Amino acid sequence: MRELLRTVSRYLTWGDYLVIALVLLGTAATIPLLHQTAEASGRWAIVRLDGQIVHQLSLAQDYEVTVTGPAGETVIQVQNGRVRVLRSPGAQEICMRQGWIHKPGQVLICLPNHVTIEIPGDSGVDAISR
Amino acid sequence: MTPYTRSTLPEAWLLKRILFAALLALGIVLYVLEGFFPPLVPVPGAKLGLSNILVLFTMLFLGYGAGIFLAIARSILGSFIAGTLFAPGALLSLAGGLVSALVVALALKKLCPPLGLVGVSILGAIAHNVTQLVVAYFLFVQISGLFYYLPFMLVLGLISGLITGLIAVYLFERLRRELELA
Amino acid sequence: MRRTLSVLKIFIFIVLALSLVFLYLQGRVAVVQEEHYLLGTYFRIKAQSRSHDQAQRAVHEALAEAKRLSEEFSRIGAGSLGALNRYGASESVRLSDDVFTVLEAAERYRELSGGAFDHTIGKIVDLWGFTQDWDRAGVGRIPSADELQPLVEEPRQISLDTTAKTARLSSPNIEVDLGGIAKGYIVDRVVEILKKHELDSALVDAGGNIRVFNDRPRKVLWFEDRRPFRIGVQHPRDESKILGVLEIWGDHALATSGDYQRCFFADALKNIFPCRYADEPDKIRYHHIIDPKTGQPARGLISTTILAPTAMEADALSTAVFVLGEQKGLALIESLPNVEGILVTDNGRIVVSSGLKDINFPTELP
Repeated sequence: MRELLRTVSRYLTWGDYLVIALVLLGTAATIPLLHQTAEASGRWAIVRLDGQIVHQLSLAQDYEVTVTGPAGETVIQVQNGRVRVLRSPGAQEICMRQGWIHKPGQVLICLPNHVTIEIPGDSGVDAISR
Repeated sequence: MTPYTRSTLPEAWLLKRILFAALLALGIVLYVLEGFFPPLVPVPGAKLGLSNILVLFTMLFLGYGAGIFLAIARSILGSFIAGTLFAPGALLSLAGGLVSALVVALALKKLCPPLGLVGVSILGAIAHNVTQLVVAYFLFVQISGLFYYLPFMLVLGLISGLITGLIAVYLFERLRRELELA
Repeated sequence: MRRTLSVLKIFIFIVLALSLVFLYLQGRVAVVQEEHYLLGTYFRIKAQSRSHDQAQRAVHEALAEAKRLSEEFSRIGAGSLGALNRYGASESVRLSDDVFTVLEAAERYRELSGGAFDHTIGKIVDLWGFTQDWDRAGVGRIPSADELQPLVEEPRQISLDTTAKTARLSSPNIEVDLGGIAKGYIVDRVVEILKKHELDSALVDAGGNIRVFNDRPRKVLWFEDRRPFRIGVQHPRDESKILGVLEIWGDHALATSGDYQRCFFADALKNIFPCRYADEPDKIRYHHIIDPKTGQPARGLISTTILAPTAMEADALSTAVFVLGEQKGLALIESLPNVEGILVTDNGRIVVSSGLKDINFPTELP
């Protein structure tokens, strides 16, 4: 062990130390990332069924996703960085009439089918009394 | 660092092949063995990367091309033996291993002298981890939260690069002395 | 000597790296958020604690309790409330402790509000079509005076026996619907459980019926991160807007009653159109907050938001104040300690109670 350490210290060059220092600096610089959760970005939509996350949708592409809940199928459309509900069971059609959402903190709620779609991020409020 | 190989090793074609085969076999064994142990830290793709020592060695003794070839062969054959060839993890490790080998080759060629084997090894380990992260991001989970792991990957790369680098330095010294004696 | 120095250098670097990890762990605050569907609405708990496990455990326990309670309070289900509605007119029905507690509280609020809050008008609400599964299949209708009159005039008494925890209804025309208060009660029970687990702070949101507490500010080394909860108040005529934001420190509850929550429109020919936030020209809005004295949707206010110490109180009072209207409603709010309110009238004025005079809400609907 002693011999190993001696050899090692002899063969760590100043360049090695520089690399180590730079990596530590890089780590320090990226540490704020740790305090962000997966939700912090805003270019994503989280689809929950009964409170469980079933999809994390990237808003970068255009496509449709179908979620099957207790009342039937909810069809979610992503287009031009926005999300809306295309079809969902329920007499009131509330979540369809809500239209497109794209801002962090916005939520689409399809109550009858237990589906929520949320653009994660800070909207400035923790909750809305409605 | 000037390649040691050309002047000191016997220029025999056969010896080179045998050495390469031995190094590759060792690399595969280390690669597979490492996969058996539970990960030291609960971060996907985090490994000590002992088989990277073999890549470093191959580059020093047999040239950069051989080292890169060894990195690819080790990943493919290793996953084949471990039975994970078609699992998503194999692709990650192949990409990580390849980019890491390229970075190590580049560092050896351009950045040594100021850098020693430890520094090169750290760069390689970090390249390995970050590549896995990027590939995972584009291929599998498109969640930005994946980069949450970045600082982890840097620290882990530092630690594993340090350890493998130190082992490499030690072994390299021993081997060099033996060769000089011989 | 030089060699030991180099070893020392490596050692220092490793210590540095470890201290970075330590710093991260220090400042980390675990936030656990879970959502469930209960009582026909979404039920969200967001808990903050220093330990992820602790927060997770607390939230799980709280959600399990909320789930259990939501079944108890189903007015047609297998629980004791369902039994009371089925057999309560002919015999005394033994109630579970939770149902009895809430029923007692409901009676208290009925008295306090002079009958504006009334939990016995389930049958009248049903006549309007605002049934339990309104969100799934609800279709509104305008009941005729002949249908309404007997139900409205019927004296609706509930006799409670506090020792035996039984209740009896004075008439088979009574249907007890604790929906206007049970949600608040469940929120309070959930908060109780979260507090028992010593969480730093938490927000419980049952479809806009909210309670928060902020017991301990989070700390990163010696920096205290003190931050209130910011709760928006829904704009009653524009779904995408809020009237303003209330910054809430400590432990408070909020509830809003609005004519946009469950409603329908009818034109002159009595054709029915679906509910929406914005008013429809030439159509009349019918909503689910029924004035027990007339059997008709309460008019005068379009939204009431109540701030109170408990979610149950906020829940019951928001309905009561909505029915009472601006003058009497404000008087009720001012007569109660630690209760404040934000009222929106049907001509677009926003009225706040005395304790909220310095919040920066607009005075007219924007």
